[in-house]
Amino acid sequence: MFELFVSEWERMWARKKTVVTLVLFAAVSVLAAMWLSRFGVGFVNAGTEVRLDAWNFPAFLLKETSFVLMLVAAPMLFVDALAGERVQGAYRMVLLRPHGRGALLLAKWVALAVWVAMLLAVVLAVGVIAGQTWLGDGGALTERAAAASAAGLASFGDVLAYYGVFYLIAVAAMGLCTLICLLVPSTVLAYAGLVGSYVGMLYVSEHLRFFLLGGEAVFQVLSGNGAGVFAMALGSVMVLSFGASWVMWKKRELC
Amino acid sequence: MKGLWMSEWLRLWSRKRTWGMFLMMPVLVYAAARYCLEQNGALSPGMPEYATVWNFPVLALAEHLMTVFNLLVVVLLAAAVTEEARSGQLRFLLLRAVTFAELFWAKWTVVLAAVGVFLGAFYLECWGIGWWLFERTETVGLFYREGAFAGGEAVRYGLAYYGLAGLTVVAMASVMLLLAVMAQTATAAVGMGIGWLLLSFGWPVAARMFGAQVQSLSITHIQHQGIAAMLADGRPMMRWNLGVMVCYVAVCLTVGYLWFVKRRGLDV
Amino acid sequence: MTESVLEVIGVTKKVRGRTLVDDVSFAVKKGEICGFLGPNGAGKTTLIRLLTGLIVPTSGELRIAGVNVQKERKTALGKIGAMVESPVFFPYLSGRKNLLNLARLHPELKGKRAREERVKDVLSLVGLAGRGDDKVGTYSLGMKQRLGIAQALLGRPEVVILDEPANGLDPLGMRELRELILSLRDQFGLTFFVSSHLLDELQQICSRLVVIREGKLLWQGETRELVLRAGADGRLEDAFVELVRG
Repeated sequence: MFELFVSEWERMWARKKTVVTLVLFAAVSVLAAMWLSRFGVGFVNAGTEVRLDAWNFPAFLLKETSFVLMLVAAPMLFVDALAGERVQGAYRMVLLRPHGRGALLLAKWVALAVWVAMLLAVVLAVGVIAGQTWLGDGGALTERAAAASAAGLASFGDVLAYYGVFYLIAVAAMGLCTLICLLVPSTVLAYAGLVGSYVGMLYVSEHLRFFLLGGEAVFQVLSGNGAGVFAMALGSVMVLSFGASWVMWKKRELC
Repeated sequence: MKGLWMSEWLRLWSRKRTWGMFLMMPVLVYAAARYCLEQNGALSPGMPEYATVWNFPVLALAEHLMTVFNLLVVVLLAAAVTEEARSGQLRFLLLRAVTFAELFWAKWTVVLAAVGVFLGAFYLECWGIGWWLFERTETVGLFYREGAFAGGEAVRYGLAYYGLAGLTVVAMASVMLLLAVMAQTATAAVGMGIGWLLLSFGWPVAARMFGAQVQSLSITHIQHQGIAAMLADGRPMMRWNLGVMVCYVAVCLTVGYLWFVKRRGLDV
Repeated sequence: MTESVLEVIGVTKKVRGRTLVDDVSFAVKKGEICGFLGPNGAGKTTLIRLLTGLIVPTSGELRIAGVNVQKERKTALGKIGAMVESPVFFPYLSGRKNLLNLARLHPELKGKRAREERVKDVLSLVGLAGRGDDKVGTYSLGMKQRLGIAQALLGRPEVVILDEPANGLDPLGMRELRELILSLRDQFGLTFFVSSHLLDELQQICSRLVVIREGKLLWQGETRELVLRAGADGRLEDAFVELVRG
């Protein structure tokens, strides 16, 4: 299994796009950090603002970069790995090797999940460094307490929890993308379909807005509002999309 | 050239995806109408945001669906330019004594014509669904305009609005065409297109302190606020916004054209 | 009697009501070079995709060295090396790197050194040793084709299945391909199943032929039997055309 993962990982980095995307994403994170730290205030949602300081900064930075992550940096690689290789025909060479199809899909998922973790690590690193460099340690204790209750950020552990929950959302998007890539025959359509389904879910239910408005949704979860419903909604999307993709991947003609 | 144009046009419409997107339009219009009905509950009649038969086509486009047209342009161009070029499908065309320049202009105008058809259909669907769901009030309010207006005036306003909206889509499409020509793969073309849209959304917020003109360098900002401002009493932003759009079209088409022709149709 | 290493038993493949392969049965013995012929759209590539487990049959059974391709796909694929349709590589990686990546997927090639050795071996087998470090984007069609054969040999297969390997090769390239196949058979006792349009090529290397048309098995047997049908100085092409026209 390890070799399968490494092979997948190597092929991912064999595309120039991967390196370019990582560099550009890091640049976007730095720019967003500059802008956000100048602004000095973070929005938990449209109505609630919180004063930024060194310790809560990484969470708000992720909220700002989340659109680029969820709409560009992650899906571009998802679609290339899950549909691009197959549409192009290159994946046939892999399918001909002595491995179960399930193992091949698992290797893809692991490689892409590591990619998403890398993107989040970039934002976290930029957030921590920028926060320490450009922002102070926060204002009065009362202000910190207000921030903690509004955003659910009481300690650095909460910031990590913020990243963790967001990571789950991005992984769910990967499941959704796998399913879409198996349903439509072109990379352009798969990509558009993924973005369309983010937006579509917004209309289906308020509780499914986390794909497009993840930054805001995670704040809500961490401050204890509707964590159960969120877990149910996210869990259902994950079970359905990963489950259906798993079955289809094993049965369908892939290349 | 005419034959090439027709072949590109027919190929576009021979695809299920084009028809799929086309048939999605009424569903989106209906969703927008439901949303406007809900909003009406909290508004008083006579406000520009209050939806009636007369102004629903404008509200539907302005509130949500301009983005749909931007995405439509991304998808159509990524498919017609990047996907075809990179998968070698252009080779078949080029065997038929077609020059790269002809191919470039054919693709560009075909996508524009398709967007025109989509926009026209959208307008008519708004009337159909609006006629069914909304009140036919005596007068209606218009954005940034003093007084109440009769239905006929509102219709003229709507047509002008759609005309300008069409122009913004042309400007957006020229950026997307450039990105599609430069992209190595179709996914990169879509990714860059969406990245550009995000940048366009972010720009007006980042440039708030520099005023409306700098903010209006973003095409999506023109779409969301600029068109209404252009049609406001005294037409304050008309020249500036038109100038911005002309610049986008001129620069992107020139660079895109040179890139496409120099790189011989993306190295087919 | 020599054992059969490739068996197709009553295989049918239907897709959306269309029958692409219709109750086909044949077998190829160990060490044989078997040619696979048929007009365009006869179902050749479909059958090759069935043999390599890329698709599953509607009914029937396919076996490689006695292993059922559907039931024990993994084991069966361990015994096959294949090139299906034109090979697609990463153009901006070198030929060697492309192969090293695929070599990871062969469990028997454990460790970096084993993989590098094997890749070096197969590159020199197909005559690409000197160009292994060049990017695949700079390869000619013939070189890509040879790299395609090299990747098929990575896992030391018992059976090599090649779909139109001579596509895009010039006369010299075809001759080299012919010599390569013969020498691999002689050196390692490999069995080959080769589809091609180039009948003269097949005539020169294949001892047996399988011919299909419209998904159905039309003829199978020794090459010279088919050639004899066209007369004493007959060419395979004439015999084939006569056979296919019925």
